Amino acid sequence: MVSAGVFTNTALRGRPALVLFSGAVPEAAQVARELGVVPWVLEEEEAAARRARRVLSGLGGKTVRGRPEDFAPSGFAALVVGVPEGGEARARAVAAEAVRGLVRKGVVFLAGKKEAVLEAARDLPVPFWAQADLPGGKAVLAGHWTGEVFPPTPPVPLRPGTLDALFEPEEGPPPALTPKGLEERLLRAARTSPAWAEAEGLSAGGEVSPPLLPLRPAHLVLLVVAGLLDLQEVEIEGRRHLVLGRLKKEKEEGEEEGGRKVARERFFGSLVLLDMERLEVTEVDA
Amino acid sequence: MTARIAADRLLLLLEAAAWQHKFLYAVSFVGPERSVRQMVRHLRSEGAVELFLPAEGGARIVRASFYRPPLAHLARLGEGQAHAVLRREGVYVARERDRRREALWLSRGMGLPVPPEWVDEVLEASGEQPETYNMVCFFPGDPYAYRDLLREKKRQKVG
Repeated sequence: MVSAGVFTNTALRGRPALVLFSGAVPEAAQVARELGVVPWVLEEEEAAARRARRVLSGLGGKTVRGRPEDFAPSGFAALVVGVPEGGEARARAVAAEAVRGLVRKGVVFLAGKKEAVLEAARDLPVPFWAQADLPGGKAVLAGHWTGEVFPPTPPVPLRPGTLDALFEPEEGPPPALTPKGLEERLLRAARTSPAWAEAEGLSAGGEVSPPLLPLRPAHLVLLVVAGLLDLQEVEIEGRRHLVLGRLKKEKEEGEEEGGRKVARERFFGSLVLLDMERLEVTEVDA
Repeated sequence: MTARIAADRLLLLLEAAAWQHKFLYAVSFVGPERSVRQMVRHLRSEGAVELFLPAEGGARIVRASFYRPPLAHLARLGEGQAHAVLRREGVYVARERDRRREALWLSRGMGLPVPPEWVDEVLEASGEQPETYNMVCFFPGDPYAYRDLLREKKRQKVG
């Protein structure tokens, strides 16, 4: 067990922490307990989950059953990983992935046999480590995750208050453990959902039936001012012009008829032409 | 990290968003249908939300709300999941860039034809535009600024 007081750091008190392999490595659960974090325990086996729950009871949080490799964590202020002997490579791979689910300026803890812990810390994207040696050849490494990759420095001793001096907790989203693949699938479905098509105004308008009778010039003028030819290029006097139809509605106060005032709405159509060579705008009443 | 939208006790996946300062202009999110509907109600009653956006080495947090109740579009995705897009009226929103569509929207808004290849210049001349995540969103163009731009282009051409 970790000697009391080593982790007397208040920076993480009450903050969400993801706790992995703590059923196999009780030191990891002990670290979480001493830090006073809200633990989210992710354990593959029921027996290990029970053991972790027992040590961490009273701190709130939750226990999720499953393989750590199958979940995408987010919004955690700390990551506490027990490094089982012989499982250094797996713990390192899991920690390397889970560290990206930390809020910027989060902290990574690795606990277990000293050699295993140092092996697991190798190549993790954590530039700064503080180390506490524990009885029985065990150790805890606390890494300061900033999201920025610097050349790693040799560990400094982890003492009470080390984290408080280094670590300013940063606000983040509420913690979440989402099964991997689900988020990507949902985001893909959202991208192509009918809600987007509606918001963009792309809902299908259906087929337009051909007119029963040939269009007269007045119909064509209406179609053009209504935007049928908008942004089409036409050649006028040998120069390219860009067309835009405009239709304005104006309300005219009419005369009183039989004691009632009658208002009339009138539509004014026009074509706006942009001369692409002279860069001049001309408006023509339709 | 994956982008998220949070309010009260709701936490959903954020698919896209547009905002300026503390005002939201459009937002698209996905999650369990009940939570999505609650979030829509929250946003339509002008409640503020927090957007957690991926940023280099962590999250960027934006706190914003719609200025007035937005238009809401909802779709069920199956398996109890739903997707919502909320947008403020009067802004252009799209998933991807489409210069021709953007030019049409700007032209009709200003009453002046805008060639698709000038869209970016017109938007720049029209002043500050919303910040966006994973979507395209902008305000109507400024016809006076566009006329100035035309004059400037003409001056450069003649000069």
